[in-house]
Amino acid sequence: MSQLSSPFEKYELAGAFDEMFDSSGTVRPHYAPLFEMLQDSPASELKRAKQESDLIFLNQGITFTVYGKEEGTERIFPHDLLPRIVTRKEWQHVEAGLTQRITALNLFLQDIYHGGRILNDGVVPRELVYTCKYFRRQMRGLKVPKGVYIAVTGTDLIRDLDGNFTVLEDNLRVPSGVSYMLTGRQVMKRIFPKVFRQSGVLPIEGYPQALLQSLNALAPEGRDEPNIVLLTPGVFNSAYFEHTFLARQMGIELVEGRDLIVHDNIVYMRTTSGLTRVDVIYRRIDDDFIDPLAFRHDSILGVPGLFNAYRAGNVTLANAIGTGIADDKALYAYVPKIIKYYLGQDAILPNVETHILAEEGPRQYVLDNLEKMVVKAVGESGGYGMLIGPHASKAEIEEFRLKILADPRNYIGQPTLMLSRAPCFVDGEFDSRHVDLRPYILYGDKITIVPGGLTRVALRKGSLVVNSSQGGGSKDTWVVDES
Amino acid sequence: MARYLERAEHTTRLLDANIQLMLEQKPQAVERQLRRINLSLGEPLKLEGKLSVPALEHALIFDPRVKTSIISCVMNARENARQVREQISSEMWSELNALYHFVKRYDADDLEQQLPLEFLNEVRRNISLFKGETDATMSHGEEWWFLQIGRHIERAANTATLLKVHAAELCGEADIEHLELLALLRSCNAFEAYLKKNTAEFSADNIVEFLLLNPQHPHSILFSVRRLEESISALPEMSSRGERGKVERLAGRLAATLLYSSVEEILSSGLHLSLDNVIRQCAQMHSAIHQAYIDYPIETSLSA
Repeated sequence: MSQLSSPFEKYELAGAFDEMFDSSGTVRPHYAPLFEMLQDSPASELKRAKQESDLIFLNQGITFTVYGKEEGTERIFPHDLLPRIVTRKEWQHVEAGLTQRITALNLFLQDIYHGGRILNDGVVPRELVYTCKYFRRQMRGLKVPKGVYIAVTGTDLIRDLDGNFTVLEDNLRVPSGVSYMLTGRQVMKRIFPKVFRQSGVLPIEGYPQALLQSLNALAPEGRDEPNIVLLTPGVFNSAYFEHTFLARQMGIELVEGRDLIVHDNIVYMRTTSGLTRVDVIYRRIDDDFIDPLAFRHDSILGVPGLFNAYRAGNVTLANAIGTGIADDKALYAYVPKIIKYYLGQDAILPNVETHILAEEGPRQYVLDNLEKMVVKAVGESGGYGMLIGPHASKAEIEEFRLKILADPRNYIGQPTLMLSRAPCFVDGEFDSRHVDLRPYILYGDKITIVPGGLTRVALRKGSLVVNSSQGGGSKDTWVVDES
Repeated sequence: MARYLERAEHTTRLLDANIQLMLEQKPQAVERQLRRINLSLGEPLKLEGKLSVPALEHALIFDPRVKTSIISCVMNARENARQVREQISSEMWSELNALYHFVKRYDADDLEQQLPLEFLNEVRRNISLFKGETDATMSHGEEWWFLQIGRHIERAANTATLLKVHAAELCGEADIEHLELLALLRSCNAFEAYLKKNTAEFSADNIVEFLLLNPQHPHSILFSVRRLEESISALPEMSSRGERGKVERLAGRLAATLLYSSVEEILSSGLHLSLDNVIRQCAQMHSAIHQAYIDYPIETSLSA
């Protein structure tokens, strides 16, 4: 391995695709302005920049909540100083791939809640769909405006050893993190204005407006100037900052379940000047909790009667109820087939090889190789319910083995992936950390993706878990125009 | 004093909003934006050679020859304050003085290295502190009302001038980018308030209506003019000849024109005409007040 020049002497390059350097240790051209700036800046200056950026996050209250810890549960979101940079050409490929994927997944949702063609044709096994806990039979036959089920998606992408973008998972229920993408950008503009200007970064400021337009497009028919609200579970939710941020940026009301009432299948919002009709609800509450009459009876976050108003077509929920079926991790394995089935195309962005443990052959293979595999519970998110074979102890592996045997439908196995690495500024030095990329896909009249996304970083050295609740952080993502 | 500070605040906001915007713009868009900022200064700078971002920043912050630069405004405000030192409270004076020293101390060479965003933020905070001290520590008597008049004349004129350089785009005669509209609203401190009123949909009509005719937002022209009207009527009557009445009539007429116009009318009859009218009337009010209260001929006050 060749020696990297200062200040990257200690930087580890081997074993994964690196975002900044090619395998010979040469800086990739689109990283050149950043690299030059880092070479010219003394460490003390970067440390000061890091403190400044942390302070901005703290003062703005950009924090999240970690569940399951007694003290100090509100933390600032760890934001790495160095941006992750993607070229416009790479981005166009990602954009085309995501557009294709989301179009197909939306058609899939429409299909399984109506005729179920894809099930009749045997492309996706029927029992896989019907045993998924996110399949909502209440949605059968229900027409949603413009046939759009997934107004907002966050799809997690990783790069394999050769640098190809690969889909790790889709988040079709209530994906979060977009506020960190937007605020992270504001902070970076303050900290590294010069490099920013030189690099030609494509703007992402239009996201709130694009989201609002998508929500507008999905309003019930005949409601020309729809009243749109954002439904939050409340101040104790880990993403509450994001809810307030988006509501503010879109200029819409932020409401909790208790602020809404349903009368004659019409949803109203309590305001200081009486009741106002609500047409579109951008909900950040899971299906289970949204209406205690239709789903979980013990939910106090939801709005009684909301589902009936929804069925009657008097209000739009974004995302629709029941979208979780399409991001079930076992169903994920079928997405390339789903794309082929509805669009007649091959998937532009490949999947990670996935073993469905409900099937006997793959199950045996995974159980035999547990120490090399990653096993995930199909319906979990946020990095919970996951086994990373190479990093787990013997006892943990055995415990997981029993769990898999008890309920094989609930798990999938994947090979342990080497996520690509990018330089991070950690404790005053540059070091490499694994990263992924979550772009946000909006679907209203058409599909819109702002150029960028949230790059999540596994801040512990060598770790592959990027989730914020598990010691992950974020980076600003720059899509640069190299011309 | 209040006019100068309002102006300094305006320049600060203008720079802050636009610097952030221009980071993401293409070179030709940056140039267009620079030209626009320059025009909005009232007296465009005659910069040698091409307009560039650092040159404009430098001129608008540090150049004492530029009347609207932050340093000129702060220096003039401090000079004015020194002349009426006994009228204003010590707290006000020390805030203003601290601002003056802060601005003077800032090293212009730093601009080469980094953007002055922190600096601008600090200036803005200082001016806000001054305004807070003004409201909290000074009696709301005649002197206080004069400060209000200065602030609101300046504010109305600034918003009008800024809108004017965007007039062609807002009337649909030229294209404008989403980001540029954002910067326009940010320059008027109106971004979040606009969102609350109109949500994140940007239309020229809504923006003009908001900045010109919104009755509640402190940076809309109508709001400023009505505060102005209110402040003028709080001034003492100087003599039986009704000087105050004259000024009051000017303010009242402008307020009524705005109050009873609709944005459609204004756009169809020419936005720049309305804005020119606002700017002209602000200048007239300024000189009318000056004549009535400061530079009045001795006969008028004795003959009563």
